[in-house]
Amino acid sequence: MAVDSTYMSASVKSYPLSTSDKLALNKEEIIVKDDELTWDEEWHNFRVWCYNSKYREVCGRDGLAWAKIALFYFVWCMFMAGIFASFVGIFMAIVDKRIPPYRGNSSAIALDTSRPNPGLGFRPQISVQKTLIKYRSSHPESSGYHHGWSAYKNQLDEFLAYYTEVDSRYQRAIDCSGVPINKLRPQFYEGKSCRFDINMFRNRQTPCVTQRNFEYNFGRPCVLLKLNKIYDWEPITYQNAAEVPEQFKALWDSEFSDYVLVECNGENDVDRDFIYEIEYFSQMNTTRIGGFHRNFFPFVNQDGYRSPLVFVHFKKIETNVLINVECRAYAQNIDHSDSLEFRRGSVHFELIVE
Amino acid sequence: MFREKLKTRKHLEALKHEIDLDEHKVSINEVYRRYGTSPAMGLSDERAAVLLERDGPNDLTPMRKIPEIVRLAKNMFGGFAILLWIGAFLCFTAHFLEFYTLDDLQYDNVWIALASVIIITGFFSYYQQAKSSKIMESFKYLQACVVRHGRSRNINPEKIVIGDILEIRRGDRIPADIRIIRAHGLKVDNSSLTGESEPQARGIEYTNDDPLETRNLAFFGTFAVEGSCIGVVIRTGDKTFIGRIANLTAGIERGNTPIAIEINHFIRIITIIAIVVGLLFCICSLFLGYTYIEAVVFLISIIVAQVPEGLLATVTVCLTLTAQRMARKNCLVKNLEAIETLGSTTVICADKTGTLTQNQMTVAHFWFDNHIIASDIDAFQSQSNYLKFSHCWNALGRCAMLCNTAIFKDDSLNLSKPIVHRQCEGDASEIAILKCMEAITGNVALFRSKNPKICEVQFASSNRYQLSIHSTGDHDERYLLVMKGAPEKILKNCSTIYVDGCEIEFNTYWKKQYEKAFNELSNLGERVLAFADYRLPLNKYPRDYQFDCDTINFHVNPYYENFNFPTTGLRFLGLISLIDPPRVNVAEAVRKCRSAGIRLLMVTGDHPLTAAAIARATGIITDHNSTDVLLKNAYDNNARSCVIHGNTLKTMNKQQLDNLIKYHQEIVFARTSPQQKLIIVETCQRLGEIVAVTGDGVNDAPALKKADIGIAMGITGSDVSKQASDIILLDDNFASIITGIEEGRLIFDNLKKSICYTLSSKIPELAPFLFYMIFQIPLPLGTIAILCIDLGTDMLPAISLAYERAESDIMKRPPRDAKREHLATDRLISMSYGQLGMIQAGGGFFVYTVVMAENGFLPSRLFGLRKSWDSRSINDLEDSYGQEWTYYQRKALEDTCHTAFFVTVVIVQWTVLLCCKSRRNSLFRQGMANQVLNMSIVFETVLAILISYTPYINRGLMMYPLKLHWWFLPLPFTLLVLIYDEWRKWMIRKFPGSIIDQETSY
Repeated sequence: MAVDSTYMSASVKSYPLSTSDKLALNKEEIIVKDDELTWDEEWHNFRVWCYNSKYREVCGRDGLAWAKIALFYFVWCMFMAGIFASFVGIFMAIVDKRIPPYRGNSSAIALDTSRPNPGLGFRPQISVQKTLIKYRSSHPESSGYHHGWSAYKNQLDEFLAYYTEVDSRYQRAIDCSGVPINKLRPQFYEGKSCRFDINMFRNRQTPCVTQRNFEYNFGRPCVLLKLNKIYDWEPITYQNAAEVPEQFKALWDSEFSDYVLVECNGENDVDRDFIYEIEYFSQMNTTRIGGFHRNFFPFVNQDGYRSPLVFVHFKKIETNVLINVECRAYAQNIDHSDSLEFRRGSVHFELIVE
Repeated sequence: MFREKLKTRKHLEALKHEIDLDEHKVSINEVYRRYGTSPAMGLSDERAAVLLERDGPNDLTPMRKIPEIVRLAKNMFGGFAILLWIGAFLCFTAHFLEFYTLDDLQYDNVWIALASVIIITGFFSYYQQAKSSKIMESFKYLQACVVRHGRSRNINPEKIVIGDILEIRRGDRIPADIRIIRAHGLKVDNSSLTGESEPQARGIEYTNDDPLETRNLAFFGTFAVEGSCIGVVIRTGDKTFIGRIANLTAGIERGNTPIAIEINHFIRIITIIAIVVGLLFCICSLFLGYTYIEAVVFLISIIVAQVPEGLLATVTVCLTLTAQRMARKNCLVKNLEAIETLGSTTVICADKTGTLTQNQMTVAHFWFDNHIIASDIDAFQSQSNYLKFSHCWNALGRCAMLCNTAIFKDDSLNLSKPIVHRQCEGDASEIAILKCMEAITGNVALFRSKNPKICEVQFASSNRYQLSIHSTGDHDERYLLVMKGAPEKILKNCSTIYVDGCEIEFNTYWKKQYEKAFNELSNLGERVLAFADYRLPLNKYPRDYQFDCDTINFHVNPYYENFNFPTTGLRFLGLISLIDPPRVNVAEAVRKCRSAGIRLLMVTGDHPLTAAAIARATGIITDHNSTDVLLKNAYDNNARSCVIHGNTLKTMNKQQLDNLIKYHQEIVFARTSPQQKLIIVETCQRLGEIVAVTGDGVNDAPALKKADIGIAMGITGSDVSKQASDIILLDDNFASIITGIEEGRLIFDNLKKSICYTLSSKIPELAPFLFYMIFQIPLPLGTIAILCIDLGTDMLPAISLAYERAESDIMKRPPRDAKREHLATDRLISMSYGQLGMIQAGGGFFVYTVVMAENGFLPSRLFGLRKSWDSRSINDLEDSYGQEWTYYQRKALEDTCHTAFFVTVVIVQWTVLLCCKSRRNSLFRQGMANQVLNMSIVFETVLAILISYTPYINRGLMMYPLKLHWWFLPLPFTLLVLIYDEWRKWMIRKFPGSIIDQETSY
């Protein structure tokens, strides 16, 4: 009943305060009493708890007690660490170090797309947090707020040096030109891989060479693209003009059927308006489109495997504006999504050339 | 208290000017006319219905509205909720900071999740509280007696309307404002209205202009502590006097119960830990080179991981469950938190009558023919032949039947019941004799009709006897005078004694024999009544003689006896002794009480002899010395037991009282007044005891209020005592209190277990963040998954521990020391965090490692990977097998890890739950009888499966389906928990006081 709670709440239970509690304030004792403690008493209790000079206690324990509990937890932690380490050790001993336990559709890499769907990577990328390429074409070195282009050039050089590296493993790379994939595939599983000939960029007098500073100094930057490696993943390339997306139909050439195609463009209409001309330099014979040769797939974690590369040369772009660029890889088994949030089979970066 | 009174007074002064009340001034007939009623007929049902429709129910309404919202708000913003709100606010800020700095948005929706969590748990505990208070409300122990259509009937007080004629008895709460029509020694307790603790006399006279002072008004919400009255209702509901000042009286606050203090203490500890750890890592992360936003995000994550969001709801559910269970065992809990208080009770001040005893006088012994005969049926049957031919027995029986005004209630249903259960009218001892005689002779009513009563003198405390004169049906023309009363009184009036069929002189020898029997019986604590009769000589008192008894009946002068017949020279027949026997299971309950370390003080208004006899019979006093010796023990601090007479108590000072209660284990307070009961309670509390008091009378209310826990009687208790108490015993049985104590201790133990269980998942929730921060590995467990554990899978198992049955020692250990023994101790936290939690975290990290490795990221690759892993800009992160992962592919893997970590916690919690079932006992001893707990294990597993595999739901909670074999990876750790904990408990049992015992037993 409503009324009950109102006027019977008078049953206040008060407790008598004993005099010994009051005296305790002056001593090094924790005050315990029936009433609510005052702030003074709370503070006193806290102080005594932190350090009790009478019993030489810190946080309610003296030295011996602290030693005991420290020993207890030391032993306990060692025990737990031992258990954990032995479990991880056993697991590491039995897990295959060359072939990922989960591959293809069963790997987490395929979770959202139901099949592995490689993305693209780009270079130069000098910050982990940023996808922005911003520099001053007139300045090689950075000064103040202005970025120079040498950082970008150096990173590309460094990256390409990896391809010319001569080591014992590299010897396992073979020349695959003209060999059909069916013959190559068994060799891949033996640890061999196709050599990606970095010299071809030079031979063809492309702008994207270190001698020409990748044309960063002319405001025409070259950006390197590579397709993400996924164990056991093979592209299904377009076989004829009918299969390719609309924009490639006019370009179709028979060599296309050996390539995963790459195309870059502005992300939005505005961005597209700022990009006047793009050239692609890859193993393909055309510069109208880029491509990764299908002989480099499947990747099966070979030593000395080098990803195929495509140089995108922004031959003529607007300067002093931010341009959002999106590059997409095209094959029958690469999906894209047009949502800005959730990109697939593509890479995004921004360009500001000053 | 005093200030409250003053405040109330002041407001009353102000209120008086607004009150337009003149019913006390006008004549009573004017009042009848005004409200269309009459004292004999009352209102008609139709008119009452119309008035009820017009005025609404007789209840105070406005107070309900505001507190509902306040209560909801308390649930929304009290305790942990405020911490979570801060977290949500920080998340919200961090989210927008992130949003505007265009960096990666990983804590985007956590603040929404947090806010909804707070609101959901807030509503949940609010709903629980509302439900439990409904249980209390559903028990309508208040009834009002009104006259309608000329018949009096009991109705719900809410149905009372203006103009109703009310009958009010002693102990009733006055259900509306009334003008008194007729009163018999009425005194009302206006303390709830004016703060005056002295009962005020009320009558029909108009004595004062002020409605509060005048005698002819009584107010809603006050209590009739003495006497009775009939009145006409003049105000109901919110229009009553108290309705107008309700908002003032409602403001009086109530002290916190021990469990509330414990929970506040617990919240404080957890809050301090959460904030200190959070800030520590926040500062550390700044030193480690994280940005401010990241540092804030860490702070939030740690707070979210540390706060047991579901715990308060769990506590409320546990208490409600216990309250329901206790209600089934006849313990009605008015205040949920009182359950736990009952568990920590150290002293019970028990009433004798009704609680320890059956409150039903029963004939215990007869003395006639110089023999004492027990009155139980077996004894009678073995001696039936002897009895049949004993003239003396026949005379005593006749006297007992005739000199008795008690009767069975005259309806066939009542008469068809067994004698013991029949309802009777009359004095308790007369009823006892009536029932006894009915059982022996068969038909008392028939015998009485054969021997009609000519005249009688009723029993009064002043003359201490009663007599009646009958014309007998045994062809004896002479009238028979029968007399019954206090032995010493009867003895004075007798000159002969009837032994073995002969009437002989009542000489010194027989007086000695009588003395012996009397002492023997009264030492048993029995109330002894003596019987005598006399044949009035026919010559002096012929048929149709006019006996005049009226002189005494009107109590004009009790000591003036002037009858026109003799009352001396009677024939002494024998003695009948009566006792209120102890309840059957009380002795067992007392024994349990003692082994549970609870002292039992008996406080009664009875004679010391009677009190001591019952105390011995029930085991409250185990000393075999005679009561006289025990009475002298009061000042002897070495004695174990003592009996204190109220008069002795009166002479004691504070120090002596303290000593009395401190040094005597077994105390019986006899002839105690209600004020003294209060003193006893206060003394106990001064000594730091937690006192439970039982009581049923109006006068017990102060002691019930003063006690830490007041226990009222459901059947015999008055409304006042029920109002003042925290717990009501529906069957008035003392044994129910023991049940209550057991439940109270159990709930405290079980809450401890529940907290231990809930806290154990805090380390596996916290450690991922620490490792993420320090070792820069991808985050192993996300915030959403943490909330899934805290509010999903952990909830039911934590609640199921409330159903856990008691460990073997629950009633064999001393009560909890409320000031030193806390709900959450450092050992509980150390055990739960440091040990159980560590194993869980170990399991979680192991599974995380495996899931990462099997998808390509071997442990060596994980260290230091955080920055690249969490960066949306990196679209080609290479793993240990040379594969390159885009941001979304990595995040899918991370969410899979979260799912696996979450599942691991759930699976390791299986055995943690089993370990929490007992604190000392081995699991094999404790058993698996708790079906709710077993079901909760199944439930949490099914829930984890659903969360992981149900499409859309899993995406909504950022989870992914797991591979089957990942479910088995935690099992070694599950087993480890069990083995470790069994070992720990074995150590505690085997080596009490060892370091394991000191550091890990909570």
